[in-house]
Amino acid sequence: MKINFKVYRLNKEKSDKVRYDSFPLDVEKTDTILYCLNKIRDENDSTLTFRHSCKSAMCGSCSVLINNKPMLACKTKIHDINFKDEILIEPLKNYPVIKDLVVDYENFWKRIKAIRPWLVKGNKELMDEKINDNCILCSCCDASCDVVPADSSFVGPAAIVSSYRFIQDPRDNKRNERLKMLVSLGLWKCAHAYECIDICPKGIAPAESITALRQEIVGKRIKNFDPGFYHAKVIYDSIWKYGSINETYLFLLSRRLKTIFNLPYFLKLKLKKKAPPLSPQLIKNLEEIRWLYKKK
Amino acid sequence: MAVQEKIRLAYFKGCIVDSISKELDISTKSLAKHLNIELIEFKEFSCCGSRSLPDYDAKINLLINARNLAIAEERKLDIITTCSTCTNSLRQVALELNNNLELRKEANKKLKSFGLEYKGKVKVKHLLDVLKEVDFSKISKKLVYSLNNLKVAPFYGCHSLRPREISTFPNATLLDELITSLGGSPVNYIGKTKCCGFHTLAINQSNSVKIAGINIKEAVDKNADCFVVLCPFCHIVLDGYQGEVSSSIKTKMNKPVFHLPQLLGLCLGIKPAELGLDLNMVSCKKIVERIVKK
Repeated sequence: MKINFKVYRLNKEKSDKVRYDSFPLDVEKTDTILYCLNKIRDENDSTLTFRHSCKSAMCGSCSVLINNKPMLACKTKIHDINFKDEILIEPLKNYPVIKDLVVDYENFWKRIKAIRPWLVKGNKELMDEKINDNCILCSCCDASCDVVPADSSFVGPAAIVSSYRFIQDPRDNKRNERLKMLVSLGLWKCAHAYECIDICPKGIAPAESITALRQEIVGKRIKNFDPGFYHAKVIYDSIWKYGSINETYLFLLSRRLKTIFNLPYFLKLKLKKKAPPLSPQLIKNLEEIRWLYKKK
Repeated sequence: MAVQEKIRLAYFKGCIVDSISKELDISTKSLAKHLNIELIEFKEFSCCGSRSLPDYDAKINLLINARNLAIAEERKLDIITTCSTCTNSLRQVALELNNNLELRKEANKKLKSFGLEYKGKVKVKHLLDVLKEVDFSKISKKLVYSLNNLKVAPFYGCHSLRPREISTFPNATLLDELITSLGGSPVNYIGKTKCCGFHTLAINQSNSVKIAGINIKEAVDKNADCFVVLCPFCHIVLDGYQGEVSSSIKTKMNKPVFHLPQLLGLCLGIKPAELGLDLNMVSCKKIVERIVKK
Protein backbone atom coordinates (compact mmCIF):
# COMPACT_ATOMS: atom_id res chain seq x y z
CA MET A 1 0.00 0.00 0.00
CA LYS A 2 1.09 3.58 -0.68
CA ILE A 3 1.00 5.98 2.28
CA ASN A 4 2.10 9.58 2.50
CA PHE A 5 4.27 10.40 5.48
CA LYS A 6 4.22 14.06 6.48
CA VAL A 7 7.33 14.69 8.54
CA TYR A 8 8.28 17.68 10.71
CA ARG A 9 11.60 19.19 9.68
CA LEU A 10 13.76 21.74 11.47
CA ASN A 11 17.43 22.45 10.97
CA LYS A 12 18.35 25.48 13.07
CA GLU A 13 21.80 25.64 11.46
CA LYS A 14 20.05 26.65 8.25
CA SER A 15 16.78 28.28 9.35
CA ASP A 16 14.49 28.65 12.36
CA LYS A 17 11.50 27.93 10.16
CA VAL A 18 9.68 24.64 10.62
CA ARG A 19 8.58 22.86 7.45
CA TYR A 20 6.75 19.63 6.75
CA ASP A 21 8.08 17.29 4.06
CA SER A 22 5.94 14.67 2.36
CA PHE A 23 7.30 11.23 1.61
CA PRO A 24 5.00 8.80 -0.24
CA LEU A 25 6.14 5.28 0.63
CA ASP A 26 5.20 1.77 -0.44
CA VAL A 27 4.69 -0.04 2.84
CA GLU A 28 3.00 -3.05 4.41
CA LYS A 29 0.39 -2.72 7.17
CA THR A 30 2.72 -4.63 9.49
CA ASP A 31 5.69 -2.27 8.97
CA THR A 32 6.70 -0.23 11.99
CA ILE A 33 6.99 3.54 11.91
CA LEU A 34 10.69 3.16 12.68
CA TYR A 35 11.07 0.98 9.59
CA CYS A 36 9.33 3.71 7.57
CA LEU A 37 11.54 6.46 9.02
CA ASN A 38 14.65 4.41 8.17
CA LYS A 39 13.29 3.86 4.67
CA ILE A 40 12.77 7.61 4.22
CA ARG A 41 16.31 8.30 5.44
CA ASP A 42 17.86 5.52 3.33
CA GLU A 43 15.92 6.12 0.13
CA ASN A 44 14.67 9.71 0.15
CA ASP A 45 16.50 12.07 2.47
CA SER A 46 19.66 11.11 4.31
CA THR A 47 19.49 14.29 6.44
CA LEU A 48 16.34 13.20 8.31
CA THR A 49 17.35 13.00 11.98
CA PHE A 50 15.70 10.83 14.63
CA ARG A 51 16.74 8.78 17.66
CA HIS A 52 16.50 5.00 17.83
CA SER A 53 18.41 2.09 19.19
CA CYS A 54 16.98 -1.25 20.38
CA LYS A 55 14.07 -1.69 17.91
CA SER A 56 12.24 -3.73 20.55
CA ALA A 57 10.47 -1.24 22.86
CA MET A 58 13.13 -1.56 25.54
CA CYS A 59 15.36 1.52 25.27
CA GLY A 60 12.67 4.20 24.97
CA SER A 61 14.69 6.36 22.60
CA CYS A 62 12.48 6.43 19.48
CA SER A 63 9.44 8.25 20.99
CA VAL A 64 7.81 10.59 18.47
CA LEU A 65 4.39 12.09 17.88
CA ILE A 66 2.44 9.93 15.46
CA ASN A 67 -0.75 11.69 14.36
CA ASN A 68 -0.48 13.85 17.50
CA LYS A 69 0.01 10.95 19.91
CA PRO A 70 3.30 10.19 21.64
CA MET A 71 4.31 6.65 20.67
CA LEU A 72 7.37 4.45 20.24
CA ALA A 73 8.26 4.37 16.54
CA CYS A 74 9.70 0.85 16.87
CA LYS A 75 6.58 -0.61 18.50
CA THR A 76 3.91 1.15 16.44
CA LYS A 77 2.84 -0.57 13.25
CA ILE A 78 0.91 1.03 10.41
CA HIS A 79 -2.21 -0.95 11.34
CA ASP A 80 -2.07 0.45 14.89
CA ILE A 81 -2.70 3.97 13.62
CA ASN A 82 -6.00 5.64 12.94
CA PHE A 83 -5.45 7.69 9.79
CA LYS A 84 -7.26 8.88 6.71
CA ASP A 85 -4.88 10.09 4.05
CA GLU A 86 -1.48 10.43 5.62
CA ILE A 87 0.58 9.77 8.72
CA LEU A 88 1.95 12.80 10.51
CA ILE A 89 5.28 12.37 12.31
CA GLU A 90 6.48 15.12 14.64
CA PRO A 91 8.88 15.50 17.56
CA LEU A 92 7.48 15.01 21.08
CA LYS A 93 5.61 17.95 22.56
CA ASN A 94 6.68 19.67 25.78
CA TYR A 95 10.38 19.63 24.78
CA PRO A 96 12.52 22.00 22.71
CA VAL A 97 13.44 20.57 19.31
CA ILE A 98 17.13 20.12 18.49
CA LYS A 99 16.74 18.88 14.93
CA ASP A 100 13.87 17.25 13.02
CA LEU A 101 12.46 14.57 15.36
CA VAL A 102 15.18 14.87 18.00
CA VAL A 103 14.21 16.78 21.15
CA ASP A 104 16.25 18.10 24.06
CA TYR A 105 15.53 15.90 27.11
CA GLU A 106 17.45 18.07 29.59
CA ASN A 107 14.33 19.02 31.60
CA PHE A 108 13.08 15.45 31.53
CA TRP A 109 16.31 14.11 33.05
CA LYS A 110 16.29 16.93 35.63
CA ARG A 111 12.84 15.77 36.74
CA ILE A 112 13.94 12.13 36.87
CA LYS A 113 17.07 13.02 38.90
CA ALA A 114 14.94 15.04 41.33
CA ILE A 115 13.28 11.88 42.67
CA ARG A 116 16.70 10.23 43.38
CA PRO A 117 16.22 7.22 41.11
CA TRP A 118 18.38 4.75 43.00
CA LEU A 119 17.78 2.26 45.78
CA VAL A 120 18.77 3.34 49.29
CA LYS A 121 19.41 -0.04 50.87
CA GLY A 122 17.92 -0.79 54.27
CA ASN A 123 17.76 -4.05 56.25
CA LYS A 124 14.79 -5.66 54.52
CA GLU A 125 15.06 -8.07 51.63
CA LEU A 126 12.82 -8.49 48.59
CA MET A 127 10.33 -11.29 49.24
CA ASP A 128 7.48 -11.83 46.79
CA GLU A 129 6.42 -8.19 46.44
CA LYS A 130 5.27 -7.20 42.99
CA ILE A 131 7.21 -4.17 41.82
CA ASN A 132 6.24 -2.53 38.58
CA ASP A 133 9.60 -1.66 37.08
CA ASN A 134 8.54 -1.77 33.45
CA CYS A 135 9.08 1.95 32.81
CA ILE A 136 11.65 2.48 30.03
CA LEU A 137 11.77 6.29 30.48
CA CYS A 138 10.52 6.88 26.95
CA SER A 139 8.88 10.11 28.20
CA CYS A 140 5.68 9.54 26.19
CA CYS A 141 3.66 10.22 29.37
CA ASP A 142 5.41 13.52 30.07
CA ALA A 143 4.90 14.52 26.43
CA SER A 144 1.15 13.86 26.69
CA CYS A 145 0.71 15.48 30.11
CA ASP A 146 -1.28 18.72 30.26
CA VAL A 147 0.28 19.94 33.50
CA VAL A 148 3.93 19.62 32.37
CA PRO A 149 3.77 22.52 29.85
CA ALA A 150 1.68 24.64 32.25
CA ASP A 151 3.83 24.26 35.37
CA SER A 152 7.60 23.83 35.24
CA SER A 153 7.67 22.90 38.94
CA PHE A 154 5.59 19.76 38.32
CA VAL A 155 7.82 16.70 38.39
CA GLY A 156 5.76 14.89 35.73
CA PRO A 157 4.29 11.38 35.47
CA ALA A 158 7.49 9.58 34.42
CA ALA A 159 9.44 10.72 37.50
CA ILE A 160 6.47 9.86 39.74
CA VAL A 161 6.34 6.35 38.26
CA SER A 162 10.11 6.02 38.80
CA SER A 163 9.75 7.07 42.42
CA TYR A 164 6.83 4.68 42.94
CA ARG A 165 9.09 1.85 41.82
CA PHE A 166 11.34 2.49 44.88
CA ILE A 167 8.42 3.20 47.22
CA GLN A 168 7.06 -0.28 46.39
CA ASP A 169 10.45 -1.87 47.06
CA PRO A 170 10.82 -3.10 50.69
CA ARG A 171 14.62 -2.94 50.39
CA ASP A 172 14.49 0.86 50.14
CA ASN A 173 14.66 2.60 53.51
CA LYS A 174 13.68 6.07 52.30
CA ARG A 175 10.12 5.26 51.39
CA ASN A 176 8.39 7.83 53.62
CA GLU A 177 10.94 10.48 52.67
CA ARG A 178 10.21 9.74 49.03
CA LEU A 179 6.48 10.28 49.62
CA LYS A 180 7.16 13.63 51.29
CA MET A 181 9.51 14.57 48.48
CA LEU A 182 6.86 13.76 45.87
CA VAL A 183 4.40 16.08 47.61
CA SER A 184 6.91 18.93 47.34
CA LEU A 185 7.55 18.02 43.69
CA GLY A 186 3.86 18.38 42.80
CA LEU A 187 2.25 14.95 43.25
CA TRP A 188 -1.12 16.62 43.92
CA LYS A 189 -0.89 18.77 40.77
CA CYS A 190 -1.94 15.98 38.39
CA ALA A 191 -5.21 17.05 36.74
CA HIS A 192 -6.70 13.57 36.20
CA ALA A 193 -6.65 13.87 32.41
CA TYR A 194 -5.66 10.19 32.05
CA GLU A 195 -3.76 10.66 28.78
CA CYS A 196 -0.76 8.93 30.31
CA ILE A 197 -2.88 5.81 30.86
CA ASP A 198 -3.81 5.55 27.21
CA ILE A 199 -0.44 6.30 25.68
CA CYS A 200 2.03 4.41 27.89
CA PRO A 201 3.63 1.85 25.52
CA LYS A 202 4.43 -0.43 28.46
CA GLY A 203 0.90 -0.38 29.91
CA ILE A 204 2.01 1.14 33.21
CA ALA A 205 -0.87 3.65 33.65
CA PRO A 206 1.05 6.43 35.46
CA ALA A 207 -2.18 8.14 36.63
CA GLU A 208 -2.99 4.97 38.59
CA SER A 209 0.45 5.13 40.25
CA ILE A 210 -0.31 8.76 41.14
CA THR A 211 -3.62 7.73 42.74
CA ALA A 212 -1.90 4.88 44.63
CA LEU A 213 0.76 7.25 45.96
CA ARG A 214 -1.82 9.79 47.08
CA GLN A 215 -3.66 6.99 48.88
CA GLU A 216 -0.43 6.01 50.63
CA ILE A 217 0.09 9.57 51.79
CA VAL A 218 -3.44 9.66 53.18
CA GLY A 219 -3.15 6.15 54.67
CA LYS A 220 0.18 6.80 56.35
CA ARG A 221 -1.09 10.16 57.60
CA ILE A 222 1.96 11.88 56.15
CA LYS A 223 1.59 15.51 57.05
CA ASN A 224 1.22 17.76 54.07
CA PHE A 225 -0.41 21.10 53.48
CA ASP A 226 -0.95 20.76 49.77
CA PRO A 227 -4.21 22.22 48.40
CA GLY A 228 -4.62 19.02 46.38
CA PHE A 229 -4.67 16.97 49.55
CA TYR A 230 -7.25 19.30 51.13
CA HIS A 231 -9.28 19.19 47.92
CA ALA A 232 -9.60 15.38 48.12
CA LYS A 233 -10.29 15.55 51.86
CA VAL A 234 -13.04 18.18 51.45
CA ILE A 235 -14.75 15.98 48.85
CA TYR A 236 -14.54 12.99 51.23
CA ASP A 237 -15.90 15.02 54.17
CA SER A 238 -18.56 16.77 52.11
CA ILE A 239 -20.04 13.51 50.81
CA TRP A 240 -20.25 12.22 54.38
CA LYS A 241 -21.93 15.41 55.53
CA TYR A 242 -24.31 16.13 52.63
CA GLY A 243 -24.04 13.22 50.19
CA SER A 244 -22.89 15.79 47.65
CA ILE A 245 -20.14 18.36 47.21
CA ASN A 246 -20.31 21.79 48.76
CA GLU A 247 -18.50 23.86 46.10
CA THR A 248 -18.06 26.92 48.30
CA TYR A 249 -16.20 24.94 50.97
CA LEU A 250 -14.34 23.05 48.27
CA PHE A 251 -12.67 26.28 47.15
CA LEU A 252 -12.38 27.85 50.62
CA LEU A 253 -10.82 24.83 52.28
CA SER A 254 -8.65 23.72 49.35
CA ARG A 255 -7.18 27.06 48.37
CA ARG A 256 -7.56 28.81 51.74
CA LEU A 257 -6.40 32.43 51.35
CA LYS A 258 -5.88 32.01 47.62
CA THR A 259 -9.68 31.66 47.25
CA ILE A 260 -9.52 35.43 46.90
CA PHE A 261 -8.48 34.82 43.27
CA ASN A 262 -11.74 32.93 42.70
CA LEU A 263 -13.86 35.77 44.08
CA PRO A 264 -14.55 37.43 40.70
CA TYR A 265 -16.02 34.14 39.49
CA PHE A 266 -18.17 33.69 42.61
CA LEU A 267 -19.38 37.29 42.23
CA LYS A 268 -20.40 36.57 38.65
CA LEU A 269 -22.25 33.49 39.88
CA LYS A 270 -24.03 35.61 42.46
CA LEU A 271 -25.11 38.11 39.78
CA LYS A 272 -26.45 35.24 37.66
CA LYS A 273 -28.26 33.91 40.73
CA LYS A 274 -26.52 30.56 40.52
CA ALA A 275 -24.01 30.77 43.35
CA PRO A 276 -23.76 27.52 45.30
CA PRO A 277 -25.59 27.55 48.64
CA LEU A 278 -23.46 27.53 51.80
CA SER A 279 -25.24 24.44 52.93
CA PRO A 280 -26.38 22.10 50.13
CA GLN A 281 -29.53 20.06 50.40
CA LEU A 282 -28.95 16.63 51.95
CA ILE A 283 -29.51 13.67 49.69
CA LYS A 284 -32.31 11.24 50.52
CA ASN A 285 -31.22 8.28 52.68
CA LEU A 286 -27.94 9.99 53.62
CA GLU A 287 -27.70 7.55 56.53
CA GLU A 288 -26.85 4.83 53.97
CA ILE A 289 -23.77 6.78 52.87
CA ARG A 290 -22.72 7.34 56.48
CA TRP A 291 -23.22 3.65 57.21
CA LEU A 292 -20.94 2.77 54.28
CA TYR A 293 -18.31 5.18 55.63
CA LYS A 294 -18.44 3.45 59.01
CA LYS A 295 -18.57 -0.15 57.79
CA LYS A 296 -16.19 0.03 54.83
CA MET B 1 -44.34 14.74 16.78
CA ALA B 2 -41.86 12.80 18.92
CA VAL B 3 -38.62 11.62 17.34
CA GLN B 4 -39.04 8.12 18.77
CA GLU B 5 -40.85 6.07 21.37
CA LYS B 6 -40.40 7.21 24.95
CA ILE B 7 -37.02 6.40 26.49
CA ARG B 8 -36.93 6.22 30.29
CA LEU B 9 -33.64 6.85 32.04
CA ALA B 10 -32.36 7.47 35.56
CA TYR B 11 -31.08 11.04 35.51
CA PHE B 12 -27.77 11.27 37.37
CA LYS B 13 -27.59 15.03 37.69
CA GLY B 14 -24.28 15.46 39.47
CA CYS B 15 -23.62 18.00 42.19
CA ILE B 16 -23.32 21.29 40.37
CA VAL B 17 -26.34 21.42 38.11
CA ASP B 18 -28.53 22.74 40.93
CA SER B 19 -26.37 25.85 41.24
CA ILE B 20 -23.24 26.74 39.24
CA SER B 21 -24.36 24.89 36.09
CA LYS B 22 -28.10 25.38 36.48
CA GLU B 23 -28.44 26.09 32.76
CA LEU B 24 -27.27 22.55 31.95
CA ASP B 25 -30.10 21.06 34.00
CA ILE B 26 -32.65 23.46 32.46
CA SER B 27 -31.53 22.74 28.89
CA THR B 28 -31.25 18.98 29.44
CA LYS B 29 -34.83 18.82 30.72
CA SER B 30 -36.15 20.92 27.82
CA LEU B 31 -34.29 18.80 25.28
CA ALA B 32 -35.43 15.55 26.89
CA LYS B 33 -39.06 16.68 26.78
CA HIS B 34 -38.65 17.59 23.11
CA LEU B 35 -37.08 14.21 22.25
CA ASN B 36 -39.56 12.15 24.29
CA ILE B 37 -36.97 11.11 26.88
CA GLU B 38 -38.27 10.73 30.42
CA LEU B 39 -35.65 11.73 32.98
CA ILE B 40 -36.36 10.07 36.29
CA GLU B 41 -34.69 11.84 39.19
CA PHE B 42 -33.51 10.04 42.30
CA LYS B 43 -32.92 12.15 45.35
CA GLU B 44 -30.98 9.17 46.77
CA PHE B 45 -28.09 9.52 44.30
CA SER B 46 -24.91 10.69 46.00
CA CYS B 47 -21.99 12.60 44.50
CA CYS B 48 -19.77 10.41 42.27
CA GLY B 49 -16.59 11.53 44.04
CA SER B 50 -15.50 13.69 41.12
CA ARG B 51 -12.47 11.44 40.42
CA SER B 52 -10.72 12.98 43.44
CA LEU B 53 -12.35 10.76 46.05
CA PRO B 54 -10.28 7.68 45.02
CA ASP B 55 -7.16 9.69 45.96
CA TYR B 56 -8.46 9.93 49.50
CA ASP B 57 -10.42 6.72 49.94
CA ALA B 58 -10.77 4.30 47.03
CA LYS B 59 -13.03 1.94 48.99
CA ILE B 60 -15.61 4.63 49.76
CA ASN B 61 -15.48 5.72 46.14
CA LEU B 62 -16.27 2.15 45.09
CA LEU B 63 -19.09 1.67 47.60
CA ILE B 64 -20.94 4.94 47.05
CA ASN B 65 -20.86 4.46 43.29
CA ALA B 66 -21.87 0.80 43.57
CA ARG B 67 -24.83 2.15 45.55
CA ASN B 68 -25.61 4.71 42.82
CA LEU B 69 -25.48 2.02 40.14
CA ALA B 70 -27.65 -0.33 42.22
CA ILE B 71 -30.32 2.34 42.81
CA ALA B 72 -30.87 2.70 39.04
CA GLU B 73 -30.57 -1.03 38.47
CA GLU B 74 -33.25 -1.78 41.04
CA ARG B 75 -35.68 0.26 38.95
CA LYS B 76 -34.45 -1.47 35.77
CA LEU B 77 -33.24 1.82 34.34
CA ASP B 78 -30.02 2.79 32.59
CA ILE B 79 -28.33 5.93 33.84
CA ILE B 80 -28.03 9.14 31.80
CA THR B 81 -25.48 11.77 32.78
CA THR B 82 -24.63 15.17 31.36
CA CYS B 83 -21.26 15.29 33.08
CA SER B 84 -18.19 13.48 31.75
CA THR B 85 -16.68 13.17 35.22
CA CYS B 86 -19.81 11.51 36.64
CA THR B 87 -19.87 9.21 33.59
CA ASN B 88 -16.23 8.34 34.16
CA SER B 89 -16.57 7.72 37.91
CA LEU B 90 -19.62 5.48 37.53
CA ARG B 91 -18.15 3.55 34.60
CA GLN B 92 -14.78 3.01 36.34
CA VAL B 93 -16.54 1.49 39.34
CA ALA B 94 -18.87 -0.60 37.14
CA LEU B 95 -15.81 -1.90 35.29
CA GLU B 96 -14.06 -2.80 38.55
CA LEU B 97 -17.15 -4.57 39.89
CA ASN B 98 -17.73 -6.40 36.59
CA ASN B 99 -14.13 -7.57 36.34
CA ASN B 100 -13.74 -8.60 39.96
CA LEU B 101 -16.63 -10.73 41.17
CA GLU B 102 -15.13 -11.10 44.67
CA LEU B 103 -15.10 -7.33 45.00
CA ARG B 104 -18.69 -7.17 43.76
CA LYS B 105 -19.73 -9.80 46.30
CA GLU B 106 -18.09 -7.83 49.09
CA ALA B 107 -19.75 -4.57 47.98
CA ASN B 108 -23.14 -6.28 47.63
CA LYS B 109 -22.89 -7.63 51.19
CA LYS B 110 -22.89 -4.03 52.36
CA LEU B 111 -25.51 -2.80 49.90
CA LYS B 112 -27.81 -5.62 51.03
CA SER B 113 -28.22 -3.80 54.36
CA PHE B 114 -30.46 -1.31 52.58
CA GLY B 115 -32.01 -3.74 50.14
CA LEU B 116 -29.77 -2.98 47.16
CA GLU B 117 -27.71 -5.20 44.89
CA TYR B 118 -25.46 -4.43 41.93
CA LYS B 119 -25.86 -7.13 39.27
CA GLY B 120 -23.86 -5.51 36.47
CA LYS B 121 -26.80 -4.82 34.19
CA VAL B 122 -27.13 -1.05 34.36
CA LYS B 123 -25.46 0.96 31.58
CA VAL B 124 -24.05 4.42 32.16
CA LYS B 125 -24.79 6.67 29.19
CA HIS B 126 -23.70 10.19 28.51
CA LEU B 127 -26.33 12.41 26.89
CA LEU B 128 -24.31 12.19 23.65
CA ASP B 129 -24.59 8.37 23.72
CA VAL B 130 -28.36 8.66 24.13
CA LEU B 131 -28.57 11.10 21.20
CA LYS B 132 -26.59 8.63 19.10
CA GLU B 133 -29.09 5.91 20.04
CA VAL B 134 -31.98 8.20 19.11
CA ASP B 135 -30.07 8.59 15.81
CA PHE B 136 -28.49 11.82 14.59
CA SER B 137 -30.17 11.47 11.20
CA LYS B 138 -33.62 11.24 12.82
CA ILE B 139 -32.82 14.28 14.95
CA SER B 140 -31.60 16.27 11.96
CA LYS B 141 -34.94 15.69 10.21
CA LYS B 142 -36.63 17.58 13.07
CA LEU B 143 -34.37 20.64 12.89
CA VAL B 144 -36.08 24.03 12.85
CA TYR B 145 -32.79 25.91 12.42
CA SER B 146 -29.51 24.82 10.90
CA LEU B 147 -26.11 25.87 12.22
CA ASN B 148 -25.51 26.84 8.60
CA ASN B 149 -21.77 26.38 8.52
CA LEU B 150 -21.21 28.05 11.86
CA LYS B 151 -17.68 27.15 12.96
CA VAL B 152 -18.26 25.16 16.14
CA ALA B 153 -15.27 23.94 18.14
CA PRO B 154 -16.12 20.67 19.89
CA PHE B 155 -14.42 20.23 23.27
CA TYR B 156 -14.64 16.59 24.36
CA GLY B 157 -12.62 16.93 27.55
CA CYS B 158 -10.82 14.05 29.23
CA HIS B 159 -13.34 12.04 31.14
CA SER B 160 -15.60 11.13 28.24
CA LEU B 161 -12.62 9.77 26.29
CA ARG B 162 -10.20 8.20 28.75
CA PRO B 163 -9.31 5.62 29.87
CA ARG B 164 -10.13 4.24 26.43
CA GLU B 165 -11.61 1.00 27.75
CA ILE B 166 -14.55 2.80 29.36
CA SER B 167 -15.22 5.33 26.62
CA THR B 168 -18.05 4.89 24.13
CA PHE B 169 -16.46 7.33 21.67
CA PRO B 170 -12.69 7.11 22.30
CA ASN B 171 -11.79 8.34 18.82
CA ALA B 172 -13.48 11.68 19.50
CA THR B 173 -15.54 11.90 16.35
CA LEU B 174 -19.10 11.61 17.70
CA LEU B 175 -19.56 15.25 18.70
CA ASP B 176 -18.07 16.34 15.37
CA GLU B 177 -20.63 14.11 13.64
CA LEU B 178 -23.46 15.71 15.59
CA ILE B 179 -22.27 19.23 14.75
CA THR B 180 -22.13 18.25 11.07
CA SER B 181 -25.63 16.76 11.23
CA LEU B 182 -26.86 20.10 12.63
CA GLY B 183 -25.39 21.86 9.60
CA GLY B 184 -22.37 23.24 11.42
CA SER B 185 -18.74 23.07 10.53
CA PRO B 186 -16.72 21.37 13.30
CA VAL B 187 -13.38 23.02 13.94
CA ASN B 188 -10.59 20.45 13.95
CA TYR B 189 -7.91 21.17 16.55
CA ILE B 190 -5.59 19.01 18.61
CA GLY B 191 -6.75 20.33 21.99
CA LYS B 192 -10.33 19.10 21.53
CA THR B 193 -9.44 15.81 23.23
CA LYS B 194 -7.26 17.39 25.91
CA CYS B 195 -7.86 18.67 29.43
CA CYS B 196 -9.91 21.76 30.37
CA GLY B 197 -7.95 22.18 33.59
CA PHE B 198 -11.01 22.10 35.84
CA HIS B 199 -9.78 19.36 38.13
CA THR B 200 -6.97 21.58 39.30
CA LEU B 201 -9.03 24.80 39.48
CA ALA B 202 -9.65 24.57 43.23
CA ILE B 203 -6.00 23.60 43.73
CA ASN B 204 -3.99 25.82 41.41
CA GLN B 205 -6.00 28.29 39.36
CA SER B 206 -3.00 29.49 37.41
CA ASN B 207 -2.26 25.96 36.10
CA SER B 208 -5.92 25.41 35.36
CA VAL B 209 -6.39 28.43 33.10
CA LYS B 210 -3.01 27.86 31.44
CA ILE B 211 -3.96 24.26 30.58
CA ALA B 212 -7.28 25.43 29.12
CA GLY B 213 -5.55 28.23 27.19
CA ILE B 214 -2.93 25.95 25.65
CA ASN B 215 -5.59 23.46 24.57
CA ILE B 216 -8.13 25.80 23.01
CA LYS B 217 -5.79 28.36 21.42
CA GLU B 218 -5.69 26.55 18.08
CA ALA B 219 -9.49 26.66 17.85
CA VAL B 220 -9.47 30.38 18.66
CA ASP B 221 -6.76 30.95 16.04
CA LYS B 222 -8.90 29.06 13.53
CA ASN B 223 -11.67 31.59 14.20
CA ALA B 224 -14.13 29.24 15.83
CA ASP B 225 -17.46 31.04 16.32
CA CYS B 226 -18.23 29.16 19.52
CA PHE B 227 -17.44 26.07 21.59
CA VAL B 228 -19.67 23.18 22.58
CA VAL B 229 -18.80 21.04 25.61
CA LEU B 230 -19.90 17.70 27.03
CA CYS B 231 -19.23 18.44 30.68
CA PRO B 232 -20.24 21.21 33.10
CA PHE B 233 -16.69 21.27 34.51
CA CYS B 234 -15.23 22.09 31.08
CA HIS B 235 -17.96 24.73 30.80
CA ILE B 236 -16.95 26.36 34.09
CA VAL B 237 -13.38 26.91 32.88
CA LEU B 238 -14.08 27.80 29.24
CA ASP B 239 -17.11 30.01 29.98
CA GLY B 240 -16.80 31.18 33.59
CA TYR B 241 -13.02 31.71 33.54
CA GLN B 242 -12.77 32.78 29.92
CA GLY B 243 -11.25 36.14 30.87
CA GLU B 244 -8.42 34.43 32.75
CA VAL B 245 -7.97 31.81 30.00
CA SER B 246 -7.86 34.61 27.45
CA SER B 247 -5.12 36.44 29.40
CA SER B 248 -3.09 33.24 29.73
CA ILE B 249 -2.85 32.92 25.93
CA LYS B 250 -2.73 36.68 25.38
CA THR B 251 -5.57 36.39 22.88
CA LYS B 252 -8.94 38.11 22.99
CA MET B 253 -11.63 35.49 22.92
CA ASN B 254 -15.24 36.40 23.66
CA LYS B 255 -16.38 32.99 22.42
CA PRO B 256 -19.75 31.66 23.59
CA VAL B 257 -19.52 28.20 25.13
CA PHE B 258 -22.62 26.05 24.77
CA HIS B 259 -23.57 22.99 26.74
CA LEU B 260 -24.48 20.19 24.31
CA PRO B 261 -28.27 20.36 25.01
CA GLN B 262 -28.23 24.15 24.60
CA LEU B 263 -26.81 24.03 21.07
CA LEU B 264 -28.95 21.11 19.96
CA GLY B 265 -32.03 22.60 21.65
CA LEU B 266 -31.62 25.85 19.71
CA CYS B 267 -31.51 23.96 16.41
CA LEU B 268 -34.65 22.04 17.37
CA GLY B 269 -36.46 25.32 17.89
CA ILE B 270 -36.54 25.32 21.70
CA LYS B 271 -36.72 28.88 23.02
CA PRO B 272 -33.43 30.32 24.38
CA ALA B 273 -35.09 31.01 27.76
CA GLU B 274 -35.94 27.31 28.07
CA LEU B 275 -32.29 26.48 27.49
CA GLY B 276 -30.97 28.75 30.24
CA LEU B 277 -28.81 30.63 27.76
CA ASP B 278 -29.05 33.82 29.81
CA LEU B 279 -27.17 32.03 32.58
CA ASN B 280 -24.03 31.50 30.50
CA MET B 281 -21.26 33.92 31.45
CA VAL B 282 -20.16 34.77 27.89
CA SER B 283 -23.13 36.14 26.01
CA CYS B 284 -24.53 33.77 23.39
CA LYS B 285 -26.82 36.44 21.95
CA LYS B 286 -25.02 37.04 18.64
CA ILE B 287 -24.65 33.34 17.89
CA VAL B 288 -28.29 32.70 18.84
CA GLU B 289 -29.34 35.48 16.47
CA ARG B 290 -27.24 33.96 13.69
CA ILE B 291 -28.81 30.53 14.22
CA VAL B 292 -32.38 31.67 14.69
CA LYS B 293 -32.35 34.18 11.81
CA LYS B 294 -31.07 31.66 9.29
